[in-house]
Amino acid sequence: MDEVDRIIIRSLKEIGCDIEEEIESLKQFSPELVVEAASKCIEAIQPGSRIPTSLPPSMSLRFRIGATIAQTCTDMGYTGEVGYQTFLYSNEADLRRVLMFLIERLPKDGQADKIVQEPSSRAARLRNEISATITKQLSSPWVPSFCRTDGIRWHDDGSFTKEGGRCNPYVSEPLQTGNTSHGCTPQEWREYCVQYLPLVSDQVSAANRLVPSLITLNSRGILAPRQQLAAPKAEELRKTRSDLLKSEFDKLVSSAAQQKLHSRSKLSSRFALNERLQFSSEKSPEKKKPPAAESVVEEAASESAEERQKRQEEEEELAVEKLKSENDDLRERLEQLQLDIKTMSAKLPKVLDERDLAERALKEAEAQQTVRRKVLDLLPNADTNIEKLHAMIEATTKKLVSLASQWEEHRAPLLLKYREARKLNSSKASESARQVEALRITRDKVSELTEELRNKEELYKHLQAEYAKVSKDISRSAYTRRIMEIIGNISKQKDEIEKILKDTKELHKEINTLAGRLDRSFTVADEVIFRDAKRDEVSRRAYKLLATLHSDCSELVKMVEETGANVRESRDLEDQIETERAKSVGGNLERISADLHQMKQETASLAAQLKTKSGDV
Amino acid sequence: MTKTTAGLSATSSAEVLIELLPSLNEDILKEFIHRCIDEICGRKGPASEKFCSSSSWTSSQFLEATSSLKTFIVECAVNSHDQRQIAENLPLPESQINCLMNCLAVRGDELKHCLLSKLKNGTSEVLTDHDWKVKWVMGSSSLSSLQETLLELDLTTTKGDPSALAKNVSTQHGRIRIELTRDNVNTLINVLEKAQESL
Repeated sequence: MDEVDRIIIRSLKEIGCDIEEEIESLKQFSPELVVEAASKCIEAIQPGSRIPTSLPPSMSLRFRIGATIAQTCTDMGYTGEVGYQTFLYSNEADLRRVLMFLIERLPKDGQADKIVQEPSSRAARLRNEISATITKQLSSPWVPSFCRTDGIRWHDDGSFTKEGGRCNPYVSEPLQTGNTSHGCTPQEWREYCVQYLPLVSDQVSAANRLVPSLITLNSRGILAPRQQLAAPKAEELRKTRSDLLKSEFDKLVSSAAQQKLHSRSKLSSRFALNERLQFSSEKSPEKKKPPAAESVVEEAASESAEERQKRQEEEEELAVEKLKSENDDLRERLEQLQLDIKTMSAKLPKVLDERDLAERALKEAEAQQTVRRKVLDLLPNADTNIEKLHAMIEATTKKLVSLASQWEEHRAPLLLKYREARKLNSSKASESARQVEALRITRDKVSELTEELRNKEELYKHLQAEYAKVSKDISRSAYTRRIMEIIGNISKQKDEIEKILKDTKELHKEINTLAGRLDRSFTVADEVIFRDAKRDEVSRRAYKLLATLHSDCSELVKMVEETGANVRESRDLEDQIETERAKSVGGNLERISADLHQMKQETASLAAQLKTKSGDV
Repeated sequence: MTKTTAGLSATSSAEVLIELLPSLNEDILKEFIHRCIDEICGRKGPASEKFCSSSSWTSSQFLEATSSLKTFIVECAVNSHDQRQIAENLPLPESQINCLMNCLAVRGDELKHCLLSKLKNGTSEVLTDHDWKVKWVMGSSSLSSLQETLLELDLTTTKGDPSALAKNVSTQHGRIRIELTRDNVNTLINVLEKAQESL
């Protein structure tokens, strides 16, 4: 039984029971440990059964847990006797039977591993979710596209997945929210915003462009303050591109800046400005009608403020008029100047071409002139000069010849030297090439070897990991060996039993033959003595004695047989007594009645509490 | 080139406008002008049902009026006409001229801005919008488990056409769709940052 206990304990440890090292047999199991082991087994067999693994102090709860476990065991097909007392007041034999039943039903290793390995990181969970969704989509039947509005498909459990369907491109359009442009008086602008500016949702040309346009508008508003630093640089670039563009742009920027100064807005972000303007445009009609309950002082203050504002506006308009007239003047001048520049630049290439032509002609003329001057210098005494020239020519040819011979002298040895050097060089080159080849081969070999080494190392690691995994199962092989031994023992015992049976049979046979012989000899003796008994008195007595002897002997045999049967019966009864005693029904009964008592007490106390509570209320 | 065609169409468009615009009252006219400016600036234009019902226009007349008014407005904005010049080009009742002037004054800056950006972009394609998705590659035909991320980048580009200032820009969209690995995305971001620095 030790072997069985050890196997049970090992299996329990594998599914995560916290069993201490000292515990080696089921005898040492405490009720808490028994309940923990049983509930973990059930959890592993039927995930989600949710039986608590620890025992509470309250008797009724303990009873309920024990009863649940027992019920689950019978539901799973356990045929033996099982009740809550099996777990709470553990009887070694019963407990062993139940635990063996449970452990036989445990899922196999591979499945158990799957349960244990729960992914923990966020990415892994996401990956799992994705693969779960894809598996779900793959396993669900095909549905025609007109049954999926916008590609959304509903599943039985209320969840949905997106399968295909149209996808709108992200296209935005510029939106006007009432704060970006001011090229007019505030009254006109307000009138436009209130009466003619359509809602943002009506400004876009298609409904699916509204959200992209809003996102773009808001992100521009967020980015605008950040990009203001870079703006001047960009302006410089544009200046060079075109004068017209520049003037237009400057005007835009300056007007925007003016507007900023005038409005003295404290809010820097455009997004916030948006909101403010939207709300202010809605609120403006209300503002026009101040409530009558306002104090006189405030009215006066607001009037003076209005006057100031009017004055300011007039001044502004004056300034704007002035600036406009200046602007017009400047533009006229600018156009005039541009016209000039155009005509001038049209003329420029022609002039440049003419200049190039003139310069070339000048150079040619100068060259001709120098030649002519030399000839004119030599003309006065031509003969002597010609002779001089001849002499010079001869001297030069001589010099040339001598130089050529000298050149040959120097050249020959140098050429020889050069050839030798080249030969040497080529031999060296071939040598180095051979070495390079050898080096390359060696390098290849080295890389091959390192590759092999790496492979071997990987294999080694892999094998080591496998070994580490396998080493756990050494006990398993030990168990199988043990089981084989047990099987051998059993077969040996079977042989012996058969031998004994054969002996018994032989004995039976012998007994039978002996009994037959006895019968026969008795009838013979009986006949002989009976024949003599008619004549002889002694023989008659002998016959009588024979008859009594025979009956006595048969009685004796019968007695012996009866004794044997009785002994067997008594042995059976003893066995029965032993098993009944092992069950310790009396003790269990006592315990159960004690439990009943305790539970009654608990119920009574709870009822009392309830009563006091209801009384309080 | 542009100027001459604009001039030519201006004369014919002026006739159309002189014929059609007086049938609108002031409020409707203002609204109509604003919607036309909206369309030039790349937004939703005037709705034919509304203006046809509030005047005696047929739908073809409405289309004519819209296109002519747009051409006229663009011409006014390009040449910066004042009230006198407009009145010369478009002999309408004074109240209607005032309406037109008022609208142009209110929307002038916006209009100029739009036209300038159209001119500035020229004939090259300019990036206007972008959209992105992150994709997770589970496996391929050769690998059963290939855990890789991809970025799908949708770029929407617009091609400006300086010769057709009055047309709506939103009709000419180009779309570029690319898939980038992590390295590609890093390269792209680096290049864009360098470009921004050099600006």
